[in-house]
Amino acid sequence: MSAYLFRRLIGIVSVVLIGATLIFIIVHLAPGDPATIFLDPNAAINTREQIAERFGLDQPLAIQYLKWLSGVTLHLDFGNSFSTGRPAAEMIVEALGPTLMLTGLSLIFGILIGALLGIFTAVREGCAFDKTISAIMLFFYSMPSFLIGVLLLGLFAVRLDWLPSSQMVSLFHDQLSFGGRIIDSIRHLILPITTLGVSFSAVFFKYIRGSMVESLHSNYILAARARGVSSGKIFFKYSLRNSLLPLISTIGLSLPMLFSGALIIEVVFSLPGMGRLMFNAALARDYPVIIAAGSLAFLSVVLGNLLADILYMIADPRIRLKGKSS
Amino acid sequence: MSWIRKPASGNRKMKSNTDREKLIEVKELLVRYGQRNLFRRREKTVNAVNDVSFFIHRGETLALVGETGSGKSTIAMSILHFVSPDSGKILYSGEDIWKYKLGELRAYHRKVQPVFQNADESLNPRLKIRSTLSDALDPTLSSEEKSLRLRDCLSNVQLNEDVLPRFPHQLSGGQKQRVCIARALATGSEMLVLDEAISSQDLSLQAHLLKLLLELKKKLSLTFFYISHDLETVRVIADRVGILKDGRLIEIGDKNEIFNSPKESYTQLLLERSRF
Amino acid sequence: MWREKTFRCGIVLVLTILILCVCLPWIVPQDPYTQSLEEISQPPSFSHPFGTDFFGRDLFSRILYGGRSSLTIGIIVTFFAVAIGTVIGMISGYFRGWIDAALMRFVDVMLGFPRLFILLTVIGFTRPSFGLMLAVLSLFSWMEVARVVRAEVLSVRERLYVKSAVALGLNRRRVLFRYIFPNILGPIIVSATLMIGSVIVIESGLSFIGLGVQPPEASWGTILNQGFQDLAGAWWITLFSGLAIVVTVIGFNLVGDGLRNVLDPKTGERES
Repeated sequence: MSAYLFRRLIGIVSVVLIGATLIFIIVHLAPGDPATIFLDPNAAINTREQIAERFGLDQPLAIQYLKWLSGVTLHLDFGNSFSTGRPAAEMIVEALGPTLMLTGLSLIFGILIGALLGIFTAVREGCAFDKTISAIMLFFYSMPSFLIGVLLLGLFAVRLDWLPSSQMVSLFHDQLSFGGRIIDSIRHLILPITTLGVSFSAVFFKYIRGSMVESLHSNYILAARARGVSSGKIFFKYSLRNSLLPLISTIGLSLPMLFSGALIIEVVFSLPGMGRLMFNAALARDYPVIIAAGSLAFLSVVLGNLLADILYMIADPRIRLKGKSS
Repeated sequence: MSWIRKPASGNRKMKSNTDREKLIEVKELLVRYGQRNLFRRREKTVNAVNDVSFFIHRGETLALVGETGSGKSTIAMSILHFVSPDSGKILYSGEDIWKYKLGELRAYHRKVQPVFQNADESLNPRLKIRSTLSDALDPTLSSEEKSLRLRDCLSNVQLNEDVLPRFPHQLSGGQKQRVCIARALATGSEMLVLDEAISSQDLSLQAHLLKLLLELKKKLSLTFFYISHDLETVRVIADRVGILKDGRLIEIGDKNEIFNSPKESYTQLLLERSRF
Repeated sequence: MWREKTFRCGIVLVLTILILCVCLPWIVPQDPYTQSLEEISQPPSFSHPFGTDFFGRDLFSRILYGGRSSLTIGIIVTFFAVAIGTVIGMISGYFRGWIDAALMRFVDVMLGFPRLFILLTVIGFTRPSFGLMLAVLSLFSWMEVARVVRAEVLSVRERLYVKSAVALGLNRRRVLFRYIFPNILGPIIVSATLMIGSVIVIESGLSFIGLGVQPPEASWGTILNQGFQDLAGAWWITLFSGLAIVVTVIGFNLVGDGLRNVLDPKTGERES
């Protein structure tokens, strides 16, 4: 098993390096020169050169790449943003907070609701409750998450005016008491989290219910029932345990979501998170930020996969004891 | 039906083993199953086939008997060139089959054909029987010749032409297995590797199939490598019998010797069990 | 297949929408591009079943035309993604060895890219265009199909009928296309159907934030964006464009799920 892990780790390092390099290449290859964005068409000719020089854009691509690579691996330095001049890494760390809060809480919400409902409906397959919930979940599964957001926004923020429609905090947030600040944050986050949470829960519901139903129908469960094993025992010992495995790997695979941010949601609700950061950076052709954000997102996907694999391996004895060559 | 294969000339009634041509010779075959660790060395290996040597004479039926997991199918797969041995050789008329180049390999495949246990799984569910059988024929033939030979193939296994336009799921179990046999013969094969091909069928079917196989063997001068755990069918069809236990060939000899005066206790055990 | 209820519902939905979007523009009374100052932002009425938008254009017609864009994108992207994914999956699963390892590593790398981000980057740099969006979406959607196909090929190649085909001395190409490919079609079709739905969702998201289909062309996403501008006022814009997306995607999901149920291992593969 440790051999497997080791191989995986090597694989990951290579994947990450390749990925980051590819991001770098894509970004630089794409048409559009960052220097010209800032320019007024009437600006002096050498202003462009000054900017290029300041940001190191005039050097050959290979040199830029090497400088960047050494900066990244040694100091985690992605350079300074073209838009704000601040270190890209810093901007990202700042934006990470809101995103993690949003996606983290939404994921928890989504997994809990999705899993609970999924299990419950799988056990009572075919009953009215199952059919209703499944239909509702199908509805939300087929809905783009931002649409859910828009609808919720429309209803609660615009029509009813119960909740704020944008930002993480109000303008006067700092003037509130501690409790007041918490409530303020919550009020701002309820809608986005509900939106993403509902979206996630639909996905998890489908998945978990599916795997539970499949395992409940499988032959060995039938055999257990025939032997007279009690329903509860069947449920916990067999079904749940086996559905747990794909669930774990699914969670691992959802981890990247934590970072890439629910981009469109952040745009819809004007939340200062990674998604919005990437969006603005892309439009402004802010290379350092784009690369930094992209690399982070990429890394998170790769780590998420690794985590899912590890968890899966721990949980599934079959993989640990795998025999048979060729 | 001369196109199917030329009957062996003058090779009948050979008495002693050493006089007969060795069609297949298996030498010290070793096949391992196991896990590879980081440095590609196998840990926790199991020898599925452990230092097995025997030969199959042209025109005879050699049966290999053993319990599940004894390695019989692995040996069959090695002879069929599906599973590569970790050491040892398999010779076909003196040639090492694992040293064949692509063209020679194809020719070898066509000479040594499998008939598997599970006829359902052996036929491509998306192809009509006509297509499946045509695939077995020499592709350079004209379509008229192909039709002719298809008819021959079917009559050999006592099947009607009306199975041709059908799909496998529209055939009965017995029909499917007969199609598999027809396909195996359509390539002009000289040896059939029958891996539990009979014993998995219904009892009533078994008798028919055994009879068919024996007739075909005589008519087309075939060689059979017959794998089974069922001693009853072995008794009917085999000339020589080998006993396989945990990957080792513990006894091999003429059918009558094995059945009447087995030397190994394990063989006796097997025989005893089958009597019930 | 037709007995499967999920499938039936889905197929009904999908076909209705397809027919509406494809045929109706020829019969529909209103031109989706005609602007009419007097009729700005009208709620649903007899003459305008879905109401009008900010420019007085009939919403119903716009949604039908938008449907054409969204569906076209969904189908074309899915087609290319499935084509690429199937080829790669088949090569990987059949030849195994280092080719398999290399290709799967490539898949891992591609999967590592947050799709929206790449789309943003590339599309944001150049002018957003229909073709560009198709290309980028196709290039980043094939991976899942490749994985599914590879898994199927790995399983099918061990089947006895494939081994028998190899034993007949058939060449590799024949084995691949006659024995393996027809028997992995089922899951491919299921994946493809479900993918159409998800591509439509992604496209609507892109169009919503302005990076997808560009005005004056419409897609459901762009119409939604307009609705978002006036959420409280012209609620019908948001409602109907949103409904269009949801209903269509539900349709495709039902079809895909229905097909999958038909192919379920517990019922065995069926001839459909």
